[in-house]
Amino acid sequence: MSRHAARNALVVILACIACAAGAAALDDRHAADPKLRRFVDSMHGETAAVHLGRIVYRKRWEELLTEALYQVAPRGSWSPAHPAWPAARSALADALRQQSVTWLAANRDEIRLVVNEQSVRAYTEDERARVAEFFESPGGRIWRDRRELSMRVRAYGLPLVIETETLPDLKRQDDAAGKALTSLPEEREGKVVYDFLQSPLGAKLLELQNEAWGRIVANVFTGEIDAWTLANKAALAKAVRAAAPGIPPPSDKTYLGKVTMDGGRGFTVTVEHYATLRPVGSYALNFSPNDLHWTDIAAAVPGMEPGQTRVLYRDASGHLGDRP
Amino acid sequence: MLMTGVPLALLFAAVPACAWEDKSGADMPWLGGGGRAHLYHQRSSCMGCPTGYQDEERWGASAWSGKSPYATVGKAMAFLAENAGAVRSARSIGAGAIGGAGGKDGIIEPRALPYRMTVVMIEPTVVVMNFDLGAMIHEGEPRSGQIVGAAYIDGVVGYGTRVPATGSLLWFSPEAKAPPAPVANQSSGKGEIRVGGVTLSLERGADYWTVTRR
Repeated sequence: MSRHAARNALVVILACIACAAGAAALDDRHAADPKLRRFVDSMHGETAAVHLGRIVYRKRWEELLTEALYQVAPRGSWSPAHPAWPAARSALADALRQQSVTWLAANRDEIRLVVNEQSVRAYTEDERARVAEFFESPGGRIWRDRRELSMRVRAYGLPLVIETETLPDLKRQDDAAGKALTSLPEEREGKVVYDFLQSPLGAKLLELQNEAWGRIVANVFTGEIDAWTLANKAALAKAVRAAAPGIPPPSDKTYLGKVTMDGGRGFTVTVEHYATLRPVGSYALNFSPNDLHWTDIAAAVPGMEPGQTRVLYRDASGHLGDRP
Repeated sequence: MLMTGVPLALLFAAVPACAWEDKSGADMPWLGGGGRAHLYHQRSSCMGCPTGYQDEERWGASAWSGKSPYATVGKAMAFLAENAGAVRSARSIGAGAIGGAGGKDGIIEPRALPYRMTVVMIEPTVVVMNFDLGAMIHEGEPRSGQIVGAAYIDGVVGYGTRVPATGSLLWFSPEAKAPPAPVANQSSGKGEIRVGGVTLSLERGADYWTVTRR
């Protein structure tokens, strides 16, 4: 099976799993409110929430890809410097992004619920009407479309959307939209946009979108994709291995951290703690040669010399060693 | 007189026997006085409890003489916290401070220790600690079975007569005021613990030490 075929097969399997899971109907008591609908739809609220969520999610995305690759082969046996890492990371990203799109398609109502609830909480009905008026104005529409394109450029390659345009194409569209915005007549549409953004209403809108919508969408998605990644660990590992030959073998052992030996033959052990595909913290322990447990460490790292650093693993029976 | 006395005596004798159920696991710790400890469980009605009942556990020779396993382990871990000596520990990264359960100024800051702990005997309590770096990050930690939680440590304490053979062993006993010390002769594969006139022998297998009371 070619790499491309393996990747496609994975995407189909994962999409089937996701569809079978389905999505529960949400109770959105604001969904039927026409004034709220006007407020949200005039600014393309759901779309903005998704793109802002993607931007907020970027840091966790990078972390998730790294941690999930260490589920395929343990720390110490490979790293971003390994020749198979880039292809493996790309295959994993493709699979997770496909799953994210499936999840979003099944959970649009959840995004709308976040947008509706936060909007009702942040604005009075009168304020929402004034914001909708701005976005229905020619200047408001141009500002909204430009902002949306800028968000898409910044979120390019991140989950929840799989772009059909190339990044350069999108950047060109963004530049064109930027020119359209700066070309607005200063005394008419340009002034409307400027005045809105300088007003407390405009400041509140940016805060609502960036701080509330974006963060909440990113949070909700984080929990969902983390759980899915862990639940489908074996299928993901199989597909990543098929797409990226040369990945070190898997291991039943657990990576614990590293040990270094100092000039006096004392050991410094750093135990690293990871949970739910994220680093939690680390503990540093020192063992001098006259310490009871020095021999426990020494037995795990045979032949270790001062100045050396080795990786520590624990097997299912609790035995310590330096081989994955 | 006889006709009335016998049923009454039976009634009083029968009530506790029905109330406390023997829930001993397959491998219970030794008793200082001889034999194995038993674990008893009782569910009784409780007016003030949200569930309407409360569960109680005791271990010892009988339900009447025994203490709660949680109290035994809590006391042992408090003793360990005060007599850590050379025992390695670090403030746990994952567990928050616990108020109202003892500790200095009424606050316990759970510790992460590179040891698994096993209560191998009660009355007096003897805890064996086997060196295991994985214990600091909950790796290989049992989630059910013969375990007891303790506020002082970020993890659980096991009980029984099998101790994982993952590294050097220490032991301690709060009642005997014996702080953590290496198990004698463990390098030979046959260790020994002497406490309160009782000798515990430890024999190393491939993955476990087996503790026997002599």
